[in-house]
Amino acid sequence: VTVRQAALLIGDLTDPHLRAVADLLPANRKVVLDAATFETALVSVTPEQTILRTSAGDRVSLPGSSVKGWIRRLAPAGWDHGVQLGGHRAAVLASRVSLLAAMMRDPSVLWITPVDRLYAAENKITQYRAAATAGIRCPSTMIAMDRQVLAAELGDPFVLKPLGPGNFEADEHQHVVYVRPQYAADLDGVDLLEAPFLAQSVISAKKHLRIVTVREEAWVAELDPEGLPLDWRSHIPAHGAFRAASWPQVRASAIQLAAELEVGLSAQDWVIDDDGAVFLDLNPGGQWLFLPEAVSMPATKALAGWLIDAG
Amino acid sequence: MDLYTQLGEPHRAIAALPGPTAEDGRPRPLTTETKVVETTDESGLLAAFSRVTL
Repeated sequence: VTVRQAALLIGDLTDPHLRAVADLLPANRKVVLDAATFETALVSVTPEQTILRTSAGDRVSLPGSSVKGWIRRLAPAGWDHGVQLGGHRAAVLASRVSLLAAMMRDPSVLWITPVDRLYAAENKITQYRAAATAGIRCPSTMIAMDRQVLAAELGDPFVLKPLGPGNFEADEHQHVVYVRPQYAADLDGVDLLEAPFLAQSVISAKKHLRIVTVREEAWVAELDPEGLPLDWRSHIPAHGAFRAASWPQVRASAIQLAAELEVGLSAQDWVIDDDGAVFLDLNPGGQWLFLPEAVSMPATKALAGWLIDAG
Repeated sequence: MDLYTQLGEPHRAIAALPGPTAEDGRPRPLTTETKVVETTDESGLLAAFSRVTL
């Protein structure tokens, strides 16, 4: 049986976000695969046609079937852990990612966010350019080699955020880079451009917001900053302390920013200070399930609904 | 010294949570009991290797 319509989910069913969405889709209308597991769902690929298999075993034809897609993760975290670039294992993984990339760039799939838009939107400088275009307020931001230049421009202390990954492994442990106030004097001997970070002015938050956007819809959760570090992610109890909230203007701006970046799904961090709303960060593959159900449930349903909607 | 060396710290969020990590080395999935944002996952849309390959 070849189905007429299906959702293509790039990710792994052990991932809670992918699972939450997949659970809302019928087995004969969803295909789940990633670079680590595509054997379960891939039948064949030619330049003209890709044949996939739904979770119920039915066939999906690209083109032919009407397919919408969501790229959650290309591979599970740790899939490429310890792989030496240029080595045999790297060649194996590269061939798998290349095949996945061919599927993700299939023009007959309508993606909630296409892979190249995802990639582009992860870049914070790109995000701030888009925010500026949309007239959205952002923190004063600079990348420079001289810490005194940063302090003069941004104030002292300022904050530093990685342009690259927010985590890395060292000494067999995962390490995370949290945002905290940083004095220029404490950066003596640090090469600020060896691994370029964004430096930003410190914002005194009256509220932290996480906003989840799904196309033209968005849901807002707020967190009181009292007693929290600047980066609430470093304080576990804060993760469960968000409340559903209504910030209509910020919500509208979040939708506008996602549209500017051409991402159909995003998790955005904003803060409210004395002068209003400030956009901090957008993650096109960010998380929402830790938020209250009044926020997380409609976001999950909206994504699943779009994927299964033939329109 | 680079800024990752200067500012990186052990991932307390995972270390502070009870329960084992999956045997295959993947991060433990979120559950309703551990509703936290996984900071190591938040930026993991594309694994480092995949970024190179794409």
